[in-house]
Amino acid sequence: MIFGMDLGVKKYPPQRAARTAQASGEAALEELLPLHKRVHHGLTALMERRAFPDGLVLLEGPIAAYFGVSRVPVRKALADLAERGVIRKFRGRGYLVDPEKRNPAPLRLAFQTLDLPARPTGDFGSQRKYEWQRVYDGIAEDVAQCLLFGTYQIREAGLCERYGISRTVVREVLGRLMTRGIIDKDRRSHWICGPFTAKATSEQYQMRMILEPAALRECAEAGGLPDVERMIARLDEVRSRGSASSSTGMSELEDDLHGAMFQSCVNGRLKASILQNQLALSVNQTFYRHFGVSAGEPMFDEHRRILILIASREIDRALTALVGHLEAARDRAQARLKVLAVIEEPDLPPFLERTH
Amino acid sequence: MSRDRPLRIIGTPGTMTKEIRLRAEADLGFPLKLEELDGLQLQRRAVTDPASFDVIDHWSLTTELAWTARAIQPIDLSQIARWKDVLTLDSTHHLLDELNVGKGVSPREILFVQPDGLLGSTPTRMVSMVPTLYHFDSFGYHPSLRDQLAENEAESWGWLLDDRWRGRMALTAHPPIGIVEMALAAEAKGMMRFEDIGNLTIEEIDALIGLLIEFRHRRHFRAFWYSSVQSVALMQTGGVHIESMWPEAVQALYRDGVPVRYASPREGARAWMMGLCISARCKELQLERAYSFVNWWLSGWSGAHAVRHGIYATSASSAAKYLSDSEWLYWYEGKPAKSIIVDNWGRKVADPGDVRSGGSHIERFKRVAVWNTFMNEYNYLIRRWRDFMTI
Repeated sequence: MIFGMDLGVKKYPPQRAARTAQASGEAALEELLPLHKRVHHGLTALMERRAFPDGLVLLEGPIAAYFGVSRVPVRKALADLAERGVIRKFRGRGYLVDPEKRNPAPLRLAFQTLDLPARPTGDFGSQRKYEWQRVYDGIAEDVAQCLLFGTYQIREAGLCERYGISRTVVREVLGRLMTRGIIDKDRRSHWICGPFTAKATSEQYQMRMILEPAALRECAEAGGLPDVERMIARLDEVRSRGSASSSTGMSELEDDLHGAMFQSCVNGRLKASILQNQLALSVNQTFYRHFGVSAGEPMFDEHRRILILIASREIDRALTALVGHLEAARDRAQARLKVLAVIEEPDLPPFLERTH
Repeated sequence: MSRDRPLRIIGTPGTMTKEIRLRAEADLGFPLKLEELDGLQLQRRAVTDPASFDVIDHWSLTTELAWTARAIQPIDLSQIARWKDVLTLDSTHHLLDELNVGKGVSPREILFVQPDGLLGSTPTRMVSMVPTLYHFDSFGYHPSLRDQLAENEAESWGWLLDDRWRGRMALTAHPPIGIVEMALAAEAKGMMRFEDIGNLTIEEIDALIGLLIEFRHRRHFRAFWYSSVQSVALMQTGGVHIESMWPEAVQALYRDGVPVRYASPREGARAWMMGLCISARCKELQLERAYSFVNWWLSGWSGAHAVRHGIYATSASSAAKYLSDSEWLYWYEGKPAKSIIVDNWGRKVADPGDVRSGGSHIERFKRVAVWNTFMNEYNYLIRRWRDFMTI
């Protein structure tokens, strides 16, 4: 979600979904539910008709592609199913289908080879969005998870196949990812990404220390600050989950302070520059995914302090606290990047090919 | 929790030995399970699976990573009886205060737990790791190589990239060590200059890897080794005359009649330190036992055991109780052996009159060039290192 905030549809999706569904007249009650609940129901229905063999390893990517949604709701749906005990974590990536608790051996089958009904009608998300928006988050996240582990070439054909989309849509998404500085083109016009380095981390934080205070000041002076109380409430809610806080929850908090905060910034170039310099956040996201979120995660206190200062309109002190937070966050990101160097490279999505 | 559940310790082959286990079990009165891993496996376990061990015996550089990953817990110094002896060589040499020698991340910089929860060099009552062993490594070379040396030619890291020994040189495949040795060599030969050899930049890494790939095309490297045992075989029968080498390999070759010389390069040594950390998951009875084990390590027997492998124990005064005068003079003071020096199994490692290469402990310590370090760009470095290894 770090990469999703410029879409302008991310912040309060349930209400928006409800409005759209009613307006479309399709009226299905299901449409009113949040996406992750609908994916949850879809998966449960498939399991009830025994579409998944025991031991099947469920991965986020293919399920997201099947339902035509991003990976975020799929992750939540899988976590909910695991809580219900019909699937479970094991020593590997993904979840194991094991409703009878028989402890079967992991069965890794390509999702497309399963005998599944045709893709659900209406593609859960697509009626509300342009085609590229539907797949943008998933692709951005696939890329962000890998680029810490090396340099990769992105194959357009592989993306078409994985997400069931046309070349035009693929190029639209990749073009936007390039604008955000997440991927690049090499001299031979191949799409490439990674490796993410300590140098890039340091440079991006340096830029953020210049840009974000400027944007915050501009928004404060123009009276364009968002509902900060709501952000504080969300922070407290994510923190109260303790070590169960997910990388997604943390990502929402980053989106609040470093994205939504500047939503009403009039200087479009400033806003765009901020977005172009937030890739280093993916270091933290990858770190949380592997190591979880500590109850003592310093980011909670740092964010809370800044938000409270903004809420009480002590903008000068908030600016100082913001710069202090960015400095500390830079050091944390650099230390975490080193740790990620020794862990195993994740399974690559098929559209990425390692070049070194 | 069962009192019979062993204390689980993971480490590298050097210290995960049967001798250490049996002696510690006899002294401590509870069972131990020692698990031996290679360097990469140990790094991964240190950061990703703290539930799988109680104590980890590893390098200071991995300690930094394990701390960031919250895999280890602070060690309370009030429960470490011999802490004041750690890194105190004698009444005049408090090495802990002098660990700022050399480039790279000195073990002191990641030792003390600071009030903000980060690691730093300002002393506090909590540490990330209790240091146990350390050494000043260099490279080894075959006696026959002396014929090609100029008169009074000083030993130098530059020899590792010297055309005189093209095709007869072997390098460790471990990236954090191999890259530093090659950087020291390239700088000694005047081929490159580094702003901070302990923390290479992206541009420096690229330039160095480019240089090494050129050397590879010229067939400079005969082999790359992953374990010390491989380095011994390369020098014995593999046609290698000069290579990265760890102290135990020097001894093994000596025993086999290859009196390899361990260099004392003019640029200084590549230093490392090991120590014991306690898993973040370790608690209750196992935590008490973990502390007992750490205290046992500092009590001398295991330190002396390591000294006879040719490395140094941080608890020198305790280790000295288990070493003869002759052993102390030979290993620590760099003096000629007064009598035959043997290893832990009674095998000869030096004749009377022999001097260990590298000089006295104090001399070596003063000339540390760089500490084994995970540089800031380590993530980038290992990808480029792989390019070099796989061409």
